Amino acid sequence: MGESVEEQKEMGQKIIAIIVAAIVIAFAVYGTWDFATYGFGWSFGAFMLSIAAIVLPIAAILWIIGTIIFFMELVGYTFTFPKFKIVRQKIRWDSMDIAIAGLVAAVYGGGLAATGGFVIIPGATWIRPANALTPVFGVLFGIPGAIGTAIGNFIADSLAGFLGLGSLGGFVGNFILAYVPYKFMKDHSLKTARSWTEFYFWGVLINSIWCSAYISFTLYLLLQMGLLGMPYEVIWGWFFPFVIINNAIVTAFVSGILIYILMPIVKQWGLYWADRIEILE
Amino acid sequence: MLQGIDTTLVLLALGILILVLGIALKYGMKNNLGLLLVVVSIGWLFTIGLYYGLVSAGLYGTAGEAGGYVTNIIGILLFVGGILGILYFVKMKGGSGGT
Repeated sequence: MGESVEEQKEMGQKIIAIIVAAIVIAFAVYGTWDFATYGFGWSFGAFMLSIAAIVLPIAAILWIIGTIIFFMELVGYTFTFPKFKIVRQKIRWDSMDIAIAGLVAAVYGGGLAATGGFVIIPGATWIRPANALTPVFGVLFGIPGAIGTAIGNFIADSLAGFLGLGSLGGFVGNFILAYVPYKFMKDHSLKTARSWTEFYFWGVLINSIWCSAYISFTLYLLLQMGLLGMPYEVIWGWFFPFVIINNAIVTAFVSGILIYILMPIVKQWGLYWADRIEILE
Repeated sequence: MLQGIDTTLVLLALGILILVLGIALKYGMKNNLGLLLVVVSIGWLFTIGLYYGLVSAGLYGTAGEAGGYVTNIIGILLFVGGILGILYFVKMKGGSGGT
């Protein structure tokens, strides 16, 4: 009887995982198809622009929270989830962590720059298949991986010809892209239905939206200060939705498989973040 | 007030500030967080150096066909170098996590 309840629970989790994955994949595929078919006359962009008055304050809140989390993690504090509590964490920052951050920066920055010529919004972004690596680095390497991702994006901005004050937003935004799945997924193994549900929710959908909102709001602030020539309509009608889709489409299809394959190898090598970090209550 | 400033100089100044802070933390206060800031600042200043290098070579903003794929090739080299670096580092550490 007990086994049957357990089986039913497992089946329920599998169904939830399939539904969540299907919704997120459908969202990413629809956005990509919409853009590929209509360019910047796409309905997704027009919809986002039509609700920009709602999106703007939400993006502002995400920007503030993202900035606080970024600096908190840098100085050695973190929070517990889902039961919120601020705690100290001890990352060794030894040669291993430093090497991880540096090498992740090289791999991610190089991967992004490799496709640098495929510009979508001049001065703002390009087609970036290497975005698929961000949840992988976050989930496998934790904070050193997220820091490396931030530096990598900065390097890529320079190589692709996009370096500017907006790169500051890209720095923290890409940190968030790797950080969200690392922090909010409870099971990183991708060996259970629940783990896949968490991955599609946090590692594909929420991180893409949060990263895009962070960078878009940074651009909006720069626009308000007269430091950016990009119009309001381009930020919220083009850039914001495009960055979400640009991230989501590759992470939805590639990142999960990469994490599944690399997790046992990284654990065997002693590089998995959970084996190296100490939470001080 | 902020209009007309050289944004790359602002980024350069920030990079130097992070480097100084990192060195002060690491060697002044013996805090390992300083090492992280030094690494961030090295990546940061490397990026600014790349920018000035590409500008002086006339290659900045010419990724893809327009620039003869030079920056793309640099990107591929970085990517491959990073992966080889990870493999080399793991091999050097004996694959069992350094402490």
